[in-house]
Amino acid sequence: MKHILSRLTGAFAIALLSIGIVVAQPKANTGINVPVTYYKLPNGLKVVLSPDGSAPLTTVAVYYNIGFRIEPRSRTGFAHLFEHLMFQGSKNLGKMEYIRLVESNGGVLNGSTRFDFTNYFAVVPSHKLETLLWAEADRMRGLDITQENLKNQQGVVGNEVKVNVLNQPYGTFPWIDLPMTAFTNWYNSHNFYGDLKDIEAATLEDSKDFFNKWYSPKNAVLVVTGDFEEKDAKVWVDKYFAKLAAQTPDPLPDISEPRQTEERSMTRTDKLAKKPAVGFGWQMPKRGTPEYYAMGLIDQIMLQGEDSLLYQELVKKKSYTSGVNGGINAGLGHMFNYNGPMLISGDLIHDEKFTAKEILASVDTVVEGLQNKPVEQAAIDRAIVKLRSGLYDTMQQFGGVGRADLLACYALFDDKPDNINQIEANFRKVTPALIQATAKEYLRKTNRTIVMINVETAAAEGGVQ
Amino acid sequence: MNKGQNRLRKRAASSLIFKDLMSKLFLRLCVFAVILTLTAIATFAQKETPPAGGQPKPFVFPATEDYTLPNGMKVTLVQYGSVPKVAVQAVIYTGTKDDAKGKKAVSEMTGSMLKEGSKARTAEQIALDTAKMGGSLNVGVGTDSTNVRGEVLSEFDAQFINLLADVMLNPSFRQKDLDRLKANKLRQLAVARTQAGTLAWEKFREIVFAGHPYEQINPRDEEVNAYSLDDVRKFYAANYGASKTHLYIVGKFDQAAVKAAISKAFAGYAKGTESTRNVPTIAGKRSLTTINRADAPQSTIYLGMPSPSATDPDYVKFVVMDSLLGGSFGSRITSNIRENKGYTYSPGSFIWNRFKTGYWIESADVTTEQTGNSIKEILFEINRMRNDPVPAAELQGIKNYMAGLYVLQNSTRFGVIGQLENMNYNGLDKTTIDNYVRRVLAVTSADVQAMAKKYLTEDRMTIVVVGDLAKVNEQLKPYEVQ
Repeated sequence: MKHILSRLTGAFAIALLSIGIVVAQPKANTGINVPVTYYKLPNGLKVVLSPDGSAPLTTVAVYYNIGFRIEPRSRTGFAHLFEHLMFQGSKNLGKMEYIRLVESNGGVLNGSTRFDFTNYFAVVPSHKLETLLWAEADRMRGLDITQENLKNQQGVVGNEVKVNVLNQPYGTFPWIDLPMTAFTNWYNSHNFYGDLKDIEAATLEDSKDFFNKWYSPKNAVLVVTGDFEEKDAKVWVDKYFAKLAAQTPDPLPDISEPRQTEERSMTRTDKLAKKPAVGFGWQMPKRGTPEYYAMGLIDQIMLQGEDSLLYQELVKKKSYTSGVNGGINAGLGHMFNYNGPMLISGDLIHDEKFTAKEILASVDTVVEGLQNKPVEQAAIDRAIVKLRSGLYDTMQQFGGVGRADLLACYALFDDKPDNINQIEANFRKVTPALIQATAKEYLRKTNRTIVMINVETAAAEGGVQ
Repeated sequence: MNKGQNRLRKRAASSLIFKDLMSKLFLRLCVFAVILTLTAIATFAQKETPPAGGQPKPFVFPATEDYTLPNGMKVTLVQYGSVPKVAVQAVIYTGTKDDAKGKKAVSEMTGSMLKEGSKARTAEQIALDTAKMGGSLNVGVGTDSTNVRGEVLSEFDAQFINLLADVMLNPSFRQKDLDRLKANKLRQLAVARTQAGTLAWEKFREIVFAGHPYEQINPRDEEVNAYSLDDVRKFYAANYGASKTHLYIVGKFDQAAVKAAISKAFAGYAKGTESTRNVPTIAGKRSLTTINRADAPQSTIYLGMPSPSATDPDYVKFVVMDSLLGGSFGSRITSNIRENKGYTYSPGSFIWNRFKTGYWIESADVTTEQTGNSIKEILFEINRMRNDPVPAAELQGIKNYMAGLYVLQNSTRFGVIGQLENMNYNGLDKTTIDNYVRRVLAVTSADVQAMAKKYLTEDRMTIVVVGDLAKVNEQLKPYEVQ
């Protein structure tokens, strides 16, 4: 790859790092080669441009380096509530106007809150790129919301928690239960969907503070993917974003977890559930290490697909269940879009005639197989093919949003969006011996957390009137 | 990759587009449960006006090659996209509509059994072979069609066709697999019956399609317990066959090699019988039905009326009306009960379409205390649509949205297959696809109002509410049928 550094554009100095298309490997059908242009505006905003003309659509995604992990201690669920507030009005776009602007221009939009970022994205017909950049810049400058808007979204978010958790069987299982049980640092172990009382207690003052702390250009990355001309995009990005004030975000708190040395478990009775369930998770190696990539392959070998060891053991051989869910960062993303302590986990719903104990004994058998002898090279090859195929899907997901997601995370967490083109090479370095060593250290029982869902024996039956 | 299916997540009724495209990446904590829509930009008094953008680029649906094998199986090939992957989908026109009375979902069990092994491969070999191709293989059974589909890296295009044909044509149908799948089905049913959304939708279907196979979504436990291997074998023999199968290949692939592979792999596929249609007669009688869910913090509402089918001249006009009313985020009902009142997170309308059949449904999970008010506001918005013409700017906005969404819908391999399959299922031709955007853009304010007046009538309205009846019954009094 080539680096072309530093040039002047108008009045603003822009450090420009342009990564040309990575030279294709001998076999054209291997490897991911995504064009990446990366630079920063003087106010600190990171910008990634990655054109792809396969459909007349353009995606604009803004990721802020603020996830629910580091929301205020007295305000669980606030990072997510705030995400909703970002749709409630800014200087030039009143309530509903951002949404209508996107939709009436033929686009779709959404936002989401994750462990380590909050994102906002829209996919529009490609001739509407400038319109969208203007709108994103408008809300990056600041919000203009009322007490009434806040109250409305507290109602909406309260209903979101009800529909996804409180009125659902297995509502917090395992996606909230597992991290809350496994981690010891509050930042990783609190209820990030939020207690309803915390959500209801939020004030306009809280949202001002939160915006000032975290929502500055310096704490964000803007990604444009899809069908566009780079020179046009650069002009518009400059025009609408360069004038936003620079502001230094708060330093990030310590989110580290100590090495886990004993198994943890939690059992809960779910009034709505009629079948028991069990989930199990292990703390991941640090992101970006050789062991992290080894665990990525273990995920493919052990958990993903019907060829996986756990599917074959728990579904086919033992008939405990019809499927095993799980993975790395399961339920809230994947192994490439987080930046802190994380779990690799599996979960399943089973009949009462099987106990969690015997199911976990079967899981042990699979894990011991990985710990006791090196996997065959064929298993690694198959895992890499699955990963590569899955990456192609991610790249073209939802009009380019999947590609923007990877680029944003590598820019935000590593300051190197072109890492997207190194993913496969990093997996190819993994050896059978490294997989075995990783399984021994990280799939230890003392690094494991179990959550179990019990059912009430005499649950009230609903009747039809 | 494939995941187990016993985790039945929250209903995502409204937008199939959203569900298909977003399911893997954006599961949780999204600001909107579904992508919904609307209107025009308000006037920006003393504000900056958004830059208008450039000129739209034309979107052309990709070219297809269509042909029929000597045994009657139809084939459609589409070179599409830039990614080295290929999607393969066989659609067999059989489904739960063909289940015998008292044997509901034997059709589904037959589909599931296909993956349990062929005469040449064990289930584990099927899984391993698929994984080696970077692929997935799924069987889905609906009311009218069974889909056997997957996608693999392009380099394995012909190999995957061989595998798919083997699974479809040579199932081993063994007792021990059936026993395990029956236990799985019973467990999944037990989970489904604890979900408010499932209960509401099941009841709604039972009411509006009474007497037709569409009335029953799920089998009863007794029915599942009684499934025999003989039932599965008989269903397969009677309902699978080349003359009711359409094979789609979309993506990057070697056209000549794929055609040769198809001819060879499906040569032994018996012709079978022609598919039959069974169009329901819909009465659309006014009713209110409640199901108790003690202590539920929300009520799940399904409210709907019969609507024009995909072949009806009213269809495109109705879809525009639906997008304005409840089918988009900026839509009137969503603006009202979510963004104004805060009663709910995930309201939305959708159109349930089958051959010559349609139903318009608004569904929402609303906070228990606001159940009656939510219905009141939904009806208020329906009546506003019936009584007042839609302002020009609001209408233009929704038309732009639908035109843009159409490009997005057709920007994936399975999106392209879905579009073609929908056309073939309904007996329509390519002009339906080519003219869609033009027809959307031609809809007038008078058309929209006429659609609401003609179809959204309270005398044909079915309402189902699942909630805490101790708190809800009183609120529902005004909607009881007199």
